Amino acid sequence: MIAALSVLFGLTLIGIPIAIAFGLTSALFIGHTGIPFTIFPVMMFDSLTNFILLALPLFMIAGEVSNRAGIAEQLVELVSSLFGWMRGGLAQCVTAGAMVFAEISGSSVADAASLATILIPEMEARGYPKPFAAAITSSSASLAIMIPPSIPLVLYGAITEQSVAKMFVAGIVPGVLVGLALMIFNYGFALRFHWTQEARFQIRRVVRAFLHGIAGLTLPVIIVGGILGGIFTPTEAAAFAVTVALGIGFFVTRRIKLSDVPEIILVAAKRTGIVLMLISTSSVFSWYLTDEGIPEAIAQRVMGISDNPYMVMFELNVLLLMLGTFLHGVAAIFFIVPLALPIIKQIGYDPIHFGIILVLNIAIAQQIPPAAAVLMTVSAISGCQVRDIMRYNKWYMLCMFIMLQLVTYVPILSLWLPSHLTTR
Amino acid sequence: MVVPDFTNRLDQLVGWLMRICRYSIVAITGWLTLILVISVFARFVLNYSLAWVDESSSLLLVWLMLAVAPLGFHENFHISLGILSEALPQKLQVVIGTAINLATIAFFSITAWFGTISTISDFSAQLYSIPIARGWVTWILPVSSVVVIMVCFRNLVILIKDAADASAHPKEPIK
Repeated sequence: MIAALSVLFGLTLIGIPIAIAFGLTSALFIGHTGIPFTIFPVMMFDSLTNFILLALPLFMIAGEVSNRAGIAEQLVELVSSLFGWMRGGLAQCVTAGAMVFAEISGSSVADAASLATILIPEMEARGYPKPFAAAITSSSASLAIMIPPSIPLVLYGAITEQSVAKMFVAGIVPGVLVGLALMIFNYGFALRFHWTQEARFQIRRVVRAFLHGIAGLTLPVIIVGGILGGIFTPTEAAAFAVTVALGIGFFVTRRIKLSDVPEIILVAAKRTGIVLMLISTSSVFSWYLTDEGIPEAIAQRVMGISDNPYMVMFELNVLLLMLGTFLHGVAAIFFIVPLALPIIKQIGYDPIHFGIILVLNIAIAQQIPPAAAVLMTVSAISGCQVRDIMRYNKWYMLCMFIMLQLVTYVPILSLWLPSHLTTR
Repeated sequence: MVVPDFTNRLDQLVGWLMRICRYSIVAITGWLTLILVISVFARFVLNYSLAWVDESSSLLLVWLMLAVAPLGFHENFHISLGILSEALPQKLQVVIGTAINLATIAFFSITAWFGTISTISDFSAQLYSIPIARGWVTWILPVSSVVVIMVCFRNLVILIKDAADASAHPKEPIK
């Protein structure tokens, strides 16, 4: 058990693509068990024959189309008209905009790229410190993986065979609560730095922005409303979202031409392909772990230290944050879920609840170097040094960490909404 | 003379294969999206379920992964933890780069070989909803594995050539 995990971590640490590290480790250890290597092609094909995984390329395409169609700009104008009157109004707009745009994109990095391009120059022009603008953009963008649709939640649902619709719905309350908590911290910064009101609330501006962005608003309604109302499965909602987003890009904002479509598809397909590669090779590794009874052995050892569910969850949160600091969020899911799931079941935690805790841990870890995919994206776009961004971002991370404790130890926050869902 | 000529030819061949991969990726994803949208339309508007969509779209997903895999090694966008190796001295980076490419070649040699064996036996099995042999779908695994091996071999050649060039013409310190 220790040998297999050490080889896996060793290969990952020297920089071998994580998908290959999973595959090679499996090959090395399956070789000892006498099981024929033809298990590789069989498992690699079978691991992807899960209908829910089809949502991945579709959500990636919908997110990419929304970015290029200028839907993010329309939504930002709408939230700006709604929240711009508050103290530190633009900072509130970043968080509120991230919450709305999260209902389309499903990827924090994509959200961070859109919001940073639109809002950081605007905040700088209005006198906000640029590293602060980068910090709030980075932290707010993390909401994209909590509020549906969420790529990590699709993957978690596929691995653990949980209803992805329920996973999506479970993420809504914690995602909105984290967003509101970030807005409270924004207000605290506004008081601390004496930022005044930037604009007055004007109902005319709200109506104009709403009418202008009404096409873009149909996307969250289709995705979240369709799944919540039991009309669509997540895959069907994703297919519909692609069609609508393309329609908006072609006919409403007119920012997308037919000749742009292959490029959009290629970008989304590359992102999907690398995730699929991870799924297929890690499934062989998971199969090996299960065959050897390793997750159960780990569960027994962890329970040996303490069988108090709160203590075990604390240990798991620490482990998840550490792992997420070094690994890409998706990779962290494939590392931890097969090992943690037996423990979760043993302490009586609901796997749906654990999925939300896992994703919130990843959201925090995305802000901690060295991996920090979201922080790095914002740093690259804003031109700010990571250490300067971290001067402000540490407070937002503290805020998210407090929310993590709340989400971990108050299960009803994640489980109340799914309990009312009639899934298709 | 022989070495640059070989490197250029290998580069050309890999470049040509990557173009095929890009076109395949766009075609597969475009087709996948289209059939899913059509199936949703058929289910909701025509109240008719297309039985072949589920199986064929899952298989297209595998094809997509295997078309992206070689491009990922060519353009270096697979998810990895590069921070530690980037912090090492140049010579050690070459050693690690070589190890990474060799490890990838080793893994894809396994999938190429056993994928071929599996594909041969798959020609005697049928798909569930489409009346063709499963082997017509699974041959992509050994083919993609061979392309990945070629890409990694090219990466290896370039890595070693660059390292040799660097040691033959060391940079002069800036005065």
